[in-house]
Amino acid sequence: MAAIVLPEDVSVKKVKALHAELLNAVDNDENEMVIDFSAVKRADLAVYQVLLACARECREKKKVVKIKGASSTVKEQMKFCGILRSN
Amino acid sequence: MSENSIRDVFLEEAKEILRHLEADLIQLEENPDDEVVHRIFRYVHTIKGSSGIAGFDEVYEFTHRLENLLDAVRNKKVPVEKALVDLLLESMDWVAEAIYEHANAERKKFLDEKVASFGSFSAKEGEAVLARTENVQAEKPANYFLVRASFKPTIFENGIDPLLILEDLVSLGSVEHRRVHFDKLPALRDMDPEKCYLEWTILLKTFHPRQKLDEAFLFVKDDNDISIEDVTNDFTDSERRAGGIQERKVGEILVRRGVITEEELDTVLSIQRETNKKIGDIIVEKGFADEKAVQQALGDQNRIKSRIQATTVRVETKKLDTLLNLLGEIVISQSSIARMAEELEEEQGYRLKNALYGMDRITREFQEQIMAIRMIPIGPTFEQFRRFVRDVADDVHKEIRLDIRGSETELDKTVIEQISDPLKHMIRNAIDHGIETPQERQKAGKKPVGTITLNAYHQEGNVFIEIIDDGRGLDRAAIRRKAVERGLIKGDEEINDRQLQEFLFMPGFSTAEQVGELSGRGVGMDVVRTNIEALRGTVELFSEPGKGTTIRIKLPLTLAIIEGMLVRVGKNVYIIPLLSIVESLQPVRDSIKTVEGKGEVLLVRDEYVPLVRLYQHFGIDSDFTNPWEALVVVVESGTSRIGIMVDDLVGQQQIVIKSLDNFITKSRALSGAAIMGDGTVALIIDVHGMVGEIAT
Repeated sequence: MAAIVLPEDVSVKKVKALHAELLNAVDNDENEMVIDFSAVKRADLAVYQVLLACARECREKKKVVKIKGASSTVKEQMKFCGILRSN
Repeated sequence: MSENSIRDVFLEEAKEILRHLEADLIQLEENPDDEVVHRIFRYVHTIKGSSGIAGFDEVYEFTHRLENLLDAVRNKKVPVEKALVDLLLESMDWVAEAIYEHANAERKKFLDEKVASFGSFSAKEGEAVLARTENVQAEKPANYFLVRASFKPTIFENGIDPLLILEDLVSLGSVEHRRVHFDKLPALRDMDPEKCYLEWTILLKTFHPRQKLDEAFLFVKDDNDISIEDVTNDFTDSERRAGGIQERKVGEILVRRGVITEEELDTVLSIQRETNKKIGDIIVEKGFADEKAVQQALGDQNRIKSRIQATTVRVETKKLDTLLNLLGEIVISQSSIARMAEELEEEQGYRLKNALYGMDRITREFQEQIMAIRMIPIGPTFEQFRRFVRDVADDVHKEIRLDIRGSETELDKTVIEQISDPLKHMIRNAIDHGIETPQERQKAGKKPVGTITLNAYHQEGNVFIEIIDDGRGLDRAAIRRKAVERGLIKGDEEINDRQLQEFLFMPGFSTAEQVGELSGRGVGMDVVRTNIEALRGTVELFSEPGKGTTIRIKLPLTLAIIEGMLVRVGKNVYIIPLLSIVESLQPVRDSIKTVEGKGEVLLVRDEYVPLVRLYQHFGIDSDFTNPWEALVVVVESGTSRIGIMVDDLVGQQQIVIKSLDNFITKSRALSGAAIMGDGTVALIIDVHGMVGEIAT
């Protein structure tokens, strides 16, 4: 299982590093990826875009992506970006 | 306006509101949605106001209390639960009684107490809540804006987060629909993570003016592709006031809201043309939108339709019938003139015929328009069963959901009026015999809540109505046992599907072990079939053990006009409805036999059918008395066929039906008459009635 822990201030400023980390996780042999949002209060669109692209690629590779510790604000943002389904 | 006319307007208006209220209350129980609560509140509020003006003081006073209770529901002080819906439905029953019959004081007192003491809610508290909110938002119309936001790829470089802007935007109201467009988002390894790729379409409901929305985009609107469209007219009454309301199709509504694109709608429409499936179903299947969005659009379509209905003029059906009869007279006169034209000299006759062709085109169009006026959607008829299903299911301790499809399907008002009772009977049967108890369903690996689906659709010039249940299906063994008991089949004989249907629709045929309150007396399905056949319709039944039963009714679009085959017997012309005709043939001598107990029969495709000599049946003269010299028209009613012997086939024609009074004939074999071009009268044969007469 590949685990990625996001820093509290994850944003467009740190998105390149996140992008690289996600690419690594997508390419490795693990069939499950956990992205830990516990420290994140809110993120920006750049972060959610890479997450979306990552989720899409994982789906193609039949890998499971799990989101951990997302606050209600983050969940709302994810819904807004189409990462999580709206109820 | 005089006091009486105010009262009349109220009586008419209240009928409609009470019907909507009942449907909404059932919906509230199934889906406790804020919008439904608001709508119920508004309906009760309207009844309160109008009843006060129309002088129904008790109704005014009672609905005022109800309004208080509903306000508490609206403010989440009272939860939406079954007991509340029960009380509200009972209350609406009382209001209807008080308006249209007489107010029952005892009942009102009882309901008053229940309303006041419901849950922890007190009437006093309600008064206060009402006073506070009544003037604020209850009647304030919301605005609806369709926002399309596409940001330039480099927007992050300016330190702007589009997500923040959009969050600001949606904080101005509630998002009715949102679609994220991922089309431009590249694969993970190909993307530049510092570029913006996503786009949005958002339908926002807000009490703020457009200017507020513009402000949300203040710093980005110049160099980004942002559009804000006011679509309030699609949702509120304002357009009705402006007189510009338009009926929209579901697909169009979804495109206007940005739920699907025009290209997607084109794809859906081309699939629909090939498969005849419903637009909404295709949209969901293709993944262009979820079911919730489609249902929402359907709901809005109905609301738009009801607003359109509100702008129309009520016309008595009788007046439309008169109009149609007058048109029938015009068609007859036209035929008379056409005959005269035949007798005129060549040029004059030619000119007259030409003029008649033009007139014929107009009268046909006229006829179609009148028929279109008579067509109404079946939705309200279906909706009235929501309460019925709920109450009856409660009585037999079953959990049943009513699923309504094809509400927009239109058919003749007369047909709709006459279909209600047969439908009720079949739904009752489905509740009583079809759907199992929750325990039985769980044992069978099904969901505890059963579903009865009412579905309507147009196909090949007919209307089909289906009553589908997902219950236990027909008990073939019990039906067979009963058929053996009644001597309909031998003990070792198996039954086929056709026999199965025939038995179920026989008078007095019931397999129910106990005669219950609901059904099981064996009275009903035969009456259902008789009623449907009286509408020139047919009924079929399909059943699969453990999976459920489907009853499919096929009805003509209208009762006023039929396509008929004109047949001649001696000097008389009769009309046989084209829909009932299987084939016509000249029989060979050997194919006619006399069977004891069955009379004269004709062998048609390995099957003996009773032969009816029309000249004998009606006691008239004919050219032929030997069937092999004459022609036989084979007709069908339900699963029975007969052969009708006639001298000749004259041709087929559209017939405007005139009813026959009972004093003219008591024969069940005749259903009406039509006036022919030469002024003579042709009688219309009622195939179902004739089959019945032969059988008896």
